[in-house]
Amino acid sequence: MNAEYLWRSIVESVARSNLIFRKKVHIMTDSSRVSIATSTIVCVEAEIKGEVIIKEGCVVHPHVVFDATNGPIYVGENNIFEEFAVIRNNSEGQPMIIGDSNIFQVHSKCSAKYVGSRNVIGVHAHLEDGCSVSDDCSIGPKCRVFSKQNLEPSVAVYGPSNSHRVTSTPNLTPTLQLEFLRKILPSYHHLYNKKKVTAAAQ
Amino acid sequence: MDLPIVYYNETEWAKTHTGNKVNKKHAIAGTQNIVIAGKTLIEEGVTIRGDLATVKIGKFCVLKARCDIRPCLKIFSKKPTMCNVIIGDYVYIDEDCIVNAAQIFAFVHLGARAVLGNGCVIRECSRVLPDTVVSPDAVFPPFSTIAGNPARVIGTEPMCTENLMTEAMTMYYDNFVPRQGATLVP
Amino acid sequence: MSALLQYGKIKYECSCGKWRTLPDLFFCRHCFKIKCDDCSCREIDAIFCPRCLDTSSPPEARLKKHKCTSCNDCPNCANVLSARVENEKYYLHCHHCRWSTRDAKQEDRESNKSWPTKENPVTNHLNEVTAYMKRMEVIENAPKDLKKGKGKAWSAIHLKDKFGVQQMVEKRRKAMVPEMNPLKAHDPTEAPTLEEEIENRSNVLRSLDQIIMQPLTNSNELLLPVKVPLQGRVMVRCDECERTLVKRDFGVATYKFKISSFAREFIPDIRMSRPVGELKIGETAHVFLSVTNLSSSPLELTITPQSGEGTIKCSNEPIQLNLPSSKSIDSAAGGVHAEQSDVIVFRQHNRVGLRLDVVPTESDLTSPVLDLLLNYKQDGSFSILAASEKVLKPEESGVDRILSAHLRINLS
Repeated sequence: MNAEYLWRSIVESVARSNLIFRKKVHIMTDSSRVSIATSTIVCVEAEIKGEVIIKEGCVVHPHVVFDATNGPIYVGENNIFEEFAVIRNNSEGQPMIIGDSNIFQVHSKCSAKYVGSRNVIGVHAHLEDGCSVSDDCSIGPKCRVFSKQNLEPSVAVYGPSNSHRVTSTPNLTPTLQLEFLRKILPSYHHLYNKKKVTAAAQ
Repeated sequence: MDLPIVYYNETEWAKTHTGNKVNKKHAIAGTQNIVIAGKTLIEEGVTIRGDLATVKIGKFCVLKARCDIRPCLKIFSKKPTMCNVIIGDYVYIDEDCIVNAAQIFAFVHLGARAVLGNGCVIRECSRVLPDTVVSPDAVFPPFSTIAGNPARVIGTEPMCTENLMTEAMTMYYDNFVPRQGATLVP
Repeated sequence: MSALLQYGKIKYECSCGKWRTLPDLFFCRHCFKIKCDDCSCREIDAIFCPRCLDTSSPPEARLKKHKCTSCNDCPNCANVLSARVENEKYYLHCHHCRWSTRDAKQEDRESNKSWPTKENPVTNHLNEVTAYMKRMEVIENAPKDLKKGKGKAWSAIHLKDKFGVQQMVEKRRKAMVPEMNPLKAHDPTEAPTLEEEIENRSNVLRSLDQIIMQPLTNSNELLLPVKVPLQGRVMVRCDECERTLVKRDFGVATYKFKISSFAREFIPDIRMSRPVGELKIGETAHVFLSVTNLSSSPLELTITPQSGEGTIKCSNEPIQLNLPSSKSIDSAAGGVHAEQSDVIVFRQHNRVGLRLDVVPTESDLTSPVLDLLLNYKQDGSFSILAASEKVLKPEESGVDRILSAHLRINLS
């Protein structure tokens, strides 16, 4: 199957569903193009620039950078973004789509055009511009996925020379971790939602 | 070689009554859960996630710039808990390390850019070379030299590492003086 | 820490002639010599698993074939295999390459012990043959045993008891001819031809590391978890006087020592105090050294630079120093000769900083090496310890010994 065709069809279907989402749930004022769902926890120290849509249930730790100045970023449900993760859209106007239940670990850099669901992007991992990662993959620590690489489902990238391997055991879903984080983080950090709403109201 | 004298700007650093010197440009969260024994140096950009679990750091430790100490996640019978991180005395953690370990015992030297996986245990007097990636749940015996991606034991440390680390860390702390203008004893 | 304190540039000469850094050397208190890895014996005093830190005695370890029963390694990448629970059953999983026991078509188990590993396919046959050979050995040695000891007893009983003779004969016959079936030797099998091997080979290629870990698997077999080999904990002994130099405390995971005679505690520690500047031919460069006394007795020390072949020419006279021990309370250090005060840069409690002048020549620029000879006197109280262990004669104890150490500093 042509990988390019597959990617295009996925992008278009997700973009359509996200457009519907944007029209329905409009929390922020018109001046800001960032829309974050109510159950998502985003710490104030995170930097969000440009058009970013984050769906329910996500947890964004402090010092995460969402850079959507060149193109929009659409993030699905129940993702975890750990410290210093950089999600940057380097393409010209094309949307970057991230699916559900992913874990972006500390210092990971994602510039991929499409990331599926239930992936684990390891510490210091680097997804370069233009690559796409489908579901249930795991990118090991300090590994790279080069641009124009399209990873099949259930692939593990590991080792210093980025070897690939098709796996049969799925990753542990972050649901349990998310429950814990959602209870703990609000008591130690100022959250993005409340601050922005109070600032807009004044 | 003796460790050189390092001068620091007093306005950028806070000193506690137990002798800890902490740079003001840090990203430490949840300071009420963090216990530092004393005489530890914490440089700029260091992240310690005390909000997730308690973090105990021993005395005469050195945490260099931008290193990250996060409690690891353990799942006991479907209940996830962040287990507490215990770092021993006289530990030197070099720049840009990411420590997801459950325990680092005393007299350990972590090289720059090392990544310690979830829940790993590094026992006493070991050395982790720069750019190593330690896999989760790994346990290493004392006096091991750990290197590679994935990490393996590649050698043994000299047996007098305890004395060497004690001397080196106390010398590092004593030579970390505020910039005052007059140079004192080297 | 060797890396932090950069001991790599300074090498001391061991009594066997090799050059080693100070943390790698030991000092034998009874021979009064420096010992290195090569002139000392290593013994194993404990066997343990490096992962679960579980000790076993030597016969136990032999039974377990020197592999831990509960710790497993991933056959794919040689990393830790951790157990995960699903539906109250355990399976093993590698975090690094995500191999799991489900890849090996192993079912999840109830308990986490005794995961199967690759067995040698001829083990059973080998065991049978070994048992057969042992029985043969008993049979062959039986007449020798009877000749040696039982001959006399046999003849005495023979004389005593006529009716007992038959019993003895029966017993002897039984001992000589046990019931056993001789094992059949099978015909030699033909080696597989190259064409057969190529046909049967699967597409999966094993890497060299994988083959070394499990030498008996074919490429079409599924990989099974590998058990972690046991390690031995080392004890160091001097090879001349057979006394222990280093012995660890009880317990596998300790870092403390019962006996520890490291060279650092007996020989003054010389380090570079500052990095050496650029060396230019003909110009005097300064080398800053710091001398530390880490022993528990005061030290009198004479440093003589040796300017021989292959070493940089140093223009200093021999320097004499008196260093108090690290444990002495009074920090007033005496014994500094006034005319040598330009050589001494600083004085701390048990440390002295020196400045040596060095003139490099053309040949020295590639590998400048500074050669120093240390003559130091150990306090008499130190050798009293040896006398109490009956090494020295009582008259000799209390006499201060002058020991020497030769060291080379790499200035590049």
